[in-house]
Amino acid sequence: MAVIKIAPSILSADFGVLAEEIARVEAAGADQIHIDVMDGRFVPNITMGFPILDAIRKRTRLPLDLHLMIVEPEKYLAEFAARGADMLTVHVEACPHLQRTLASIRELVGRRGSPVKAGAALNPATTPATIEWVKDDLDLVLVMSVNRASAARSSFPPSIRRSDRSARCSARAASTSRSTAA
Amino acid sequence: MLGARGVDVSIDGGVKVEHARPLAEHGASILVAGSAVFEAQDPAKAIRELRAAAELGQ
Repeated sequence: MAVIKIAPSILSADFGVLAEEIARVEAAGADQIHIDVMDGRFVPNITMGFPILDAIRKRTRLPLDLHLMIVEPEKYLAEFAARGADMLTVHVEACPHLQRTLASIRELVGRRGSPVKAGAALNPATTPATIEWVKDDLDLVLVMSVNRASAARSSFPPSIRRSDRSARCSARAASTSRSTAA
Repeated sequence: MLGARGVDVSIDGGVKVEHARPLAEHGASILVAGSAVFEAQDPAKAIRELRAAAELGQ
């Protein structure tokens, strides 16, 4: 059973006092910090990039979980890793060669010399079947419960069903890799 | 079994404490929480409650 982790999303912080906000959620028991990077192309909103990542990295030792809602994420993966990202999650819909992108994330060396973790994110309209053939290259599946505009709108009943399907895909991934490795 | 290889399932978008248990029941292991934590009067309490509710669902 996976350990439950709570990841406060920095997009909801007050950026005028970002350092204090990070300290507040770290002291409150956050397991990792979730950073939503949006480019105004993959999603309508534009949020943050390298300078904010640098500022956050300087203020916390918690793992940084980057959710890249951007087109052509492969252009920026090495730079995000060099600046201290611990997990890089790309969107299935933004990657014409998803397996190659995920594998390239895991080849990146993160902090403390460990590999960067690779995640695949699914928009609400994307079937979890899309991750079936990249299961050996995944550390994380991120299920979007909403279509990102600028504000989150909750739509939980369908999202819960999606989570169930993603969980089953991940479970298959786990058992398949275990038997392959045996 | 989910997590046998360390694969996490993360849920992002409008997660509140009342969603934590059913999401964990369906295999979620990471809950991304924005306003539920940052806009809480007591973020430590908010995180504690999210975690406790999710663990009940496992």
